[in-house]
Amino acid sequence: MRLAFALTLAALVAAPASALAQREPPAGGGGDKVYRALTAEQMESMLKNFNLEYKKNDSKTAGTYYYDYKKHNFSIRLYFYNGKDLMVDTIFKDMPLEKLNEWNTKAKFSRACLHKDDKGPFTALEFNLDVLGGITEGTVRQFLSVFEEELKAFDKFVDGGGITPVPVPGNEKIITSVSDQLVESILNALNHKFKKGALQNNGGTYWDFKSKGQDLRLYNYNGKDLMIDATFKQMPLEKINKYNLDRKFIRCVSYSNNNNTWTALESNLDCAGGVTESIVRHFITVFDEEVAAFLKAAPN
Amino acid sequence: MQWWKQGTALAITALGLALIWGQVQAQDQPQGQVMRNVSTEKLEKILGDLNITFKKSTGKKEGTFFYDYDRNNYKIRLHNYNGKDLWIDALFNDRTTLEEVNKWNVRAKFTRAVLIRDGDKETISLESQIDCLGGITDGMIRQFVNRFDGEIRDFVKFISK
Repeated sequence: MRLAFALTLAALVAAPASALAQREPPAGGGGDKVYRALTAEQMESMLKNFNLEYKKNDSKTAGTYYYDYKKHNFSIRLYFYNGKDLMVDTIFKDMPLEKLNEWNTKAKFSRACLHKDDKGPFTALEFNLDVLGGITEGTVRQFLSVFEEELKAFDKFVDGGGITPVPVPGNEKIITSVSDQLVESILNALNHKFKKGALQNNGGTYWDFKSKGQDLRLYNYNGKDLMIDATFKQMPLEKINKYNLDRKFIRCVSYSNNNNTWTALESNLDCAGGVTESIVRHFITVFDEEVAAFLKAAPN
Repeated sequence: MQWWKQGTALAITALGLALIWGQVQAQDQPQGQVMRNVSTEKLEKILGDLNITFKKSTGKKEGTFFYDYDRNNYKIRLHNYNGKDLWIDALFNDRTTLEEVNKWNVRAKFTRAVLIRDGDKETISLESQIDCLGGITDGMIRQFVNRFDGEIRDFVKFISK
């Protein structure tokens, strides 16, 4: 697509936008098709697009399937109810009803329930999505992503860390400078153990941590903007350029320094216009997907 | 004091307090509300506020819109993909190499350069994208659009060397 409109522009110094062919969004934006019911195949295709390795299980009820997968060390079960509604849950140890009620009072998206089976009582953190009103692949992605955030917050809550449910967009404070404390509270909430360092010339702070087995570095340039990156072995520039052509939200770059060469995958967040805690959290967590997509396209 | 004078004084005091309260609120929430989706109306309002006169066109996919406009004599296109993500780019046909493109990407923070080749023809796309699904504010969109002007300026200097 890009090649087609490049042809039309070659004679111009700076191409007139009116001459531009319509660009199709590359990968990374999620599908836009609206579904009012899902087939199991569509569900599975979405899970694959989200890079989730699942185990499918049948249920006693026709049209109901369970998809079990792991994310951030949580065992998650996705319930597929005839394609009309979805539920995700994760099991925790049993706990007093007062504590569960405390969570349910404050949490916006999930609910904590006490269940009992032949092995005894247990707690389930649950979250549902109604499909019948119309959903997109992006809705499902967001549904699963929000549940992961809820799980992390609930896990912290269970350990006595207090309630920090996922902030509700619209109710959050907008900030134009991101403090190191805020970055660290987000990394802690995401259960990332980090090593902190200072950038040269008072340029800011960085944090090294592992996410899904990948070493990442997050930079805070004195609150004004954030950057996150991951490094990989050297790649030819043709391949790097092709990757940038095919993806969005990231920048793939080749570096060399003192006979060392490597490829970096980078993403930046400009905070000067005003961001929120959940926007920063999203910026960090969504990078996992970018790393997974990169590794799929260019195995290290 | 007559009753109507007292009433007027009270009304003026209340108005003054309301104005002060409004300013305090505005300071607490510097850039408005957080959105998860950018409507065409919202985007067009922001472009209007930035005094950008644009030409709007529709993409092949439903919900995709392009806004073409001039800034500092450069042609810019802003793309809105269903309100879920925004894309901004400017195209250049300077002769360059992948090494130069990578050099820009090494120093760049908020954009990337991509070389688009078709036989002997080459175009450089200077571009930036913003993901709205995690939340976006008016201020972020304004910053995204305004920042790109500076990126173009720097890129032109870089590529002209």
